[in-house]
Order: sequence, then structure tokens, then C-alpha cells
Amino acid sequence: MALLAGCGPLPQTAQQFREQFPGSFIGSVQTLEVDRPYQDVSKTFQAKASECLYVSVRSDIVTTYKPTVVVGDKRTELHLQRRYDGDVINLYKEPEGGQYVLVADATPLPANRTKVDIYGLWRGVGAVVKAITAWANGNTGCPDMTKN
Amino acid sequence: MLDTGWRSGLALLSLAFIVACAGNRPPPRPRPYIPYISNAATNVTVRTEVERGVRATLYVYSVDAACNTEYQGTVSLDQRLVELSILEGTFTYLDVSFDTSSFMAGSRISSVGSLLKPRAGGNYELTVSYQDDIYNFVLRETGSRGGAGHELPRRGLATCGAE
Repeated sequence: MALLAGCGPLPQTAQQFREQFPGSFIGSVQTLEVDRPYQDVSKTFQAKASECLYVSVRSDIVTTYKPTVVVGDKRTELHLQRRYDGDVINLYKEPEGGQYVLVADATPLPANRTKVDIYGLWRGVGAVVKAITAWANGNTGCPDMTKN
Repeated sequence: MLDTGWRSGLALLSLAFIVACAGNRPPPRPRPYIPYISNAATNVTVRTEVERGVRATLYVYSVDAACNTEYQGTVSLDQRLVELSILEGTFTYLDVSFDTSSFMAGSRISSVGSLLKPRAGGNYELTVSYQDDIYNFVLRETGSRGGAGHELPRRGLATCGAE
């Protein structure tokens, strides 16, 4: 059995997850600017999130990832949640779909460029951050979720 | 008391991470593996490019109308180019696994696959790659006269009922 604890109540929304980051030690915010139009980056996020991130990883427990993409004229958000199934006790209430582990925001910049902010935990999303960076640049591979 | 509770919690948390990082069991595979053999004409070319330490393997399954699979054989993708023949007119599930297991990291296997229903006379190309924790699995129907053809969407097993 595993006990999953944290340093405070879990964020229940993507916005609460973002708000944890300034000055936080739970993760990092990476920002990149790419020479691709916002609409293209947004389409890539929509296509690849559903293709690559609905994944279950089995070890002694089962880790299930759930991506959500929210598309707007001025921002496309990619949320990734993670849920553990098996002999696991969560000390804090998890949002439906699991704990937020990553949020990536794509926003348009002048001259057909796009800014991407990636809010990710220190542990457990390394391969996903690499993949999102690749998607922003127009590459379409999927992250190996056993490498997170 | 509180301090003891925290220490216990942290110890269990560490255990959870170790277990999770120990890697995944591979999906159920038939054993023993048998090499995939078909005497029909070649209609699928598999191009593989993986970084050192990654073993790519293709498992071939026939799929019936109820989406049940039957293992047909295994193809080791240790060559850059492999040609094989897949039965035309029926669904086949092509399942590629990337084995990145190591002594330090334990067993780590990722799988990705797609249904394919080859058309009569059709030719297909499967491109498989793995680099820096990112993999690609791209299936294309190639043009009859060397044209570029078009990429086929990846189809899960559950969609076998849809044409």
C-alpha cells in the first residue's frame, strides 16, 4: 500500500495549479516562444493530447493520465491529470480525473509566433514536457510515459 | 506523534515512488514468441530508427469482427528496414513495443499500435522511431507509383467494427 501526501490541499482546478507556482518548490514554469502560428500550435495540442496522453502505466499500481484541452481565441490550455489506482491512499481530496501534474498554455504573439508556458511538477512529467516542447515546434512524437 | 506520522508517511511515499519508477510490466504477450511468417506478397514496409538501448518489436494480431485478437507472430525491428505481408481485406492489429529496460531502471516497456485493413494491391509503410523519450508510430498508405501517399490515422482496437 502507498500513502500519497503533499504539503497542502491539492489544487482542484488548472488555475489553482498555476497559482501554486510563483516561488513554489513543487515544480517549475518553462516558457518558450516558437516560430509557428498560434492556430497551428493549438491544433497540434488538440490532436496530440488525445492521441498520446490517454495512457495507463502499470507497475505495482496503475497510473492513469487524463488530458484536457481547452481552446480559445487567445489561449489554448492543455491540462494533464494523473490518478493512481490500486493500494493507494490519498490524504487530500483529489479533483475528478486525478491530481493536476501539468498545465501548458499557448498564446499568440505578433508575427505569427506563439508563446508556450509549461507549468509542471518537478517529478513525473519529464517526458511530457519534452513532448509538449516538440509539439510546439511542430514535431509530432508521443512521450514515453514510463519515462516520466 | 505528529512527527512520527509524517516520517511514516514520507517513508511510504518514498516506497511508492520507488515502485512506480521501477517500471511497468509488459502487456500480456503470447509465449513463446513465434516469428511472424506470411507467404503472401509484401505489402508493408517497416522503417525503424531507435536510439541505442531501445529494443523495438512488432507484434502482429489478426482481428475478427467482434474485435477479438489472435496472435500471429512477432517481428524484431532490429533492422532499419523490414518487409512483411499482411492479409488484405481483413483487420490486423500492428502493436509495436519499445523496451527501454535497464538494470538500473528496471523493466520499462511502452506499446503503441493501430489497426490496419490493407486494400487489395495496396502498399503501406510503417515508420517507427524512438529518441530521447519520444516515440513515433506513423502508418502511411503509399502511392502506387512511388507517390507520397497519405498518413493513416491511428486506430484503436475498439474501432474494428467501423469501416
